[in-house]
Amino acid sequence: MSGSDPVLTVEGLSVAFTAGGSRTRPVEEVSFAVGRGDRFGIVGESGSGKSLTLLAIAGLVDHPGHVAADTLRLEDADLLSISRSRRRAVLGTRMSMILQDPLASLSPVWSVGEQIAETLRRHTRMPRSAAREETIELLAQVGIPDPRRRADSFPHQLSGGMRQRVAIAIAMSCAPIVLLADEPTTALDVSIQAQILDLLVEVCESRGMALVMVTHDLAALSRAAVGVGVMYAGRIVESGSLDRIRTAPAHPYTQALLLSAPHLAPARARSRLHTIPGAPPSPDKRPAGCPFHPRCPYVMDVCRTVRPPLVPIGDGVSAACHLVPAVFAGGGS
Amino acid sequence: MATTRMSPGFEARSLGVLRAGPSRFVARRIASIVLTLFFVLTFTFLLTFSIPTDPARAVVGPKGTAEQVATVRENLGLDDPLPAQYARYMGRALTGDLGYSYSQRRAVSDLIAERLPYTALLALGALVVQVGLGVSVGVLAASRAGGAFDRSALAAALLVISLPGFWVGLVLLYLLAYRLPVFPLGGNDFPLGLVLPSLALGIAGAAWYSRITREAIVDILNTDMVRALRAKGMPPRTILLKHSLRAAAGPVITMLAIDFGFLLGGAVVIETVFSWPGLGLTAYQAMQRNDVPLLMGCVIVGSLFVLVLNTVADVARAFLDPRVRL
Repeated sequence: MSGSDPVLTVEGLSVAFTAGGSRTRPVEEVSFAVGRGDRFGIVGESGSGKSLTLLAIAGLVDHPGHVAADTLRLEDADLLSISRSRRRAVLGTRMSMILQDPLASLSPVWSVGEQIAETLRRHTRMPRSAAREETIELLAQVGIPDPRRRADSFPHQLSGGMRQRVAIAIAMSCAPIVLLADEPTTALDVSIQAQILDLLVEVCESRGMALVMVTHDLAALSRAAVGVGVMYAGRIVESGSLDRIRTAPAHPYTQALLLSAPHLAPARARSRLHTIPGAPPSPDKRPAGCPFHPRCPYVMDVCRTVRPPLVPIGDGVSAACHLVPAVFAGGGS
Repeated sequence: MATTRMSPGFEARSLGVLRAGPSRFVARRIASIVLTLFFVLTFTFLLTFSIPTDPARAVVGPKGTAEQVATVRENLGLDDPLPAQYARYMGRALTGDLGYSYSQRRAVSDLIAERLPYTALLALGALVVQVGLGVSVGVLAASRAGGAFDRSALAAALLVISLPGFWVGLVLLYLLAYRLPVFPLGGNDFPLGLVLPSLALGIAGAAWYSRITREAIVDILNTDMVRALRAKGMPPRTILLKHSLRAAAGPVITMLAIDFGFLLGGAVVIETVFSWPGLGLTAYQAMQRNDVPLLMGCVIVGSLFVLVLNTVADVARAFLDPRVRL
C-alpha cells in the first residue's frame, strides 16, 4: 500500500447479530487501511462476511446487527462515534457506495438524472438547473452516450452496464475520498464486467478516490485492485499487495483460492483446476482455533485450538496461519 | 405503434409515460367499457324476469283492477316476445333512456342525473378518508415498524375492519350529531353533512389501506434501493416520502381500482343511514318499492361509474410508476 497517511482506517472491526439469545459474529476483528487513491480489494467466498464489512464501514448495518471496532476512521472523522446527521453528511460526500445490483439499487420511479441530481442538491445546495447540468456532465464522464437525453431515462430503460455506470455517477457525484463497491460487477454480463471495472479504476485515478471493492471474483479483483485482503469465515486471513500475494500466497486458504482460478495461479500449478474440499463454516458454527483448519491440507494440532493472529510476514504481507511465520522465518528472510 | 419511448424533460416526465401508447390504451379501454356495459345491461334485463314481481301491477298499484293491469301490460309491451323486449330495451338504453320510475313518476335518467352528483361527492369524501387517513397511518406505521404506533395502528385497523359500516355510521351520528351536535343528523348539508357519511363509508377502507401501505413500504425499506439512498446520504424523510411511498403507490392504487365497486355497495347502506340523497339511497328505495326500472338504472350507472374510475386509477398508476405501460 502507499506510504501516505491512510484515508480510511479499519481496526478490529466486528459485526455481531443477537437473535433469540444466540449471538453470531459474521465479521470478526477485521483490520486494514487504505491510503489516498489506493485500490483495495476484499476477496472471499459467499458468507465470508466481506459485504457486511463494507456495510459496517458505511454505517448501514441495522438493528439487530451491532458494529464494534477499535478504530473506524475516515481521515479525521471517527465513524464510530459520529452522529446520524453527521454520517448522512459524510455519506455521499466523503464516502460513497456502489451496490451489487444496479437495478435493485436505483429507484424505479425516478429518472436516473433526478437520482444523480438529488444527491448533488442534497450535499451541495446546488440550484436545480446547475445540478442538472452537472448531472449531464457526470453521465458523460461515466461513458453514457447522449447524456442529455439519457438523464431522463428510467432505470428499467437502461442496460445493466448503463445502470451500473449511473450508480457510479451517483457515487462520484460529490467527489468522495473513498468509494466502497460491493460486488459491483457480479450482476452484470461478463462482457460488460471488464468495462465497468476499468471505469471504476479510471474515475478513482482521475479523481484521487480510494476504492474498497468487495468481490468473490478473482478476475475482477486483479483487474481493479492493487492491495488485497483475503477474507475467510469473517476474518482477514492474508493481506498485502495483489502482485505479491498472487505470486507467493502464504496462507493455505489463499493458495487454494488461487488454484481454483487457474489464470491467476502461478504457472507451475496450472495443470488442473482445483477445488477446495468442504464448505466455509456458517457464522454460528465456526470451529475453534483457526477457522480454516477443517479444510486445511497442512493442519497441525495447534490449529484446532489456538486462533492464529494476523502477523506481518515481510514484503508488506500479513497472514494469519500458524505454519506461515515458521516457514517464512525458516526461509531466513 | 412505435416501440421506442423517450420521455421529454424532467418537468414533462409523467406525461412522457402517457405518451407511451395513449391511443391504443384509450381504444382498448373504450372497447372494454362498452363490452362490460353490454353485459351489465343484458344481465340486468334478464334479472328483471327472475324477480317475482309484475311491473304492471307495480305501476297500477295494489288497488288496481285486472283490466287496468292488462292495459298497462299492453302499453309497456310486456306481452311481447323476450327478444323484442330485449331489443327495445337495449335500443332505449343506448340513447340514454333508462325507462320510467313507477314509484317516483319520473324518467329514471332524470332522477339519476339529479342523484349521481351526491354519490360522487360521498365517494370522493370516502376516498379522501380511505387514502388520506389510510396512507398517512400506513406511512407513519412503516417508518417505525414494530414500534408502539405500528402496533396500535394494527390493533385499531383490525377493530375497524371488523365493524359493520352502518353501525359505525349510527355510532358517529349518536356521538357527533346527537350527543355533541357538531354535524347535522342527516341530509345533504354541504360541507358539514358530508363529513360523517364519508367517515363511515371510508373508515374500513382506511384501515385496509393503512395495512397495505405499511406492508408495501416496509418491503421497500428492506431493499437495496433504500440502502443505496442511505449510502448517498439522503435523509429518512426523503427516503420515506419521495422514494418509498412513490414506489409503494402501485399496490395501493391497484387496490383502489378494485375498491370502487365496494365503495358503491357501501354507499347504499351509508346513504340510507344518513339520508344522503345519492344513488345508493335511490337504489335502496327502488328495491323497497319494487321499482325495477329505477333499480336497473342505478345498477347500470353504478357500473359505468366503477368502470370510469378504474380507468382513472390505471392512468394514475402510470403517472406514478414509469414501469407501468398503458
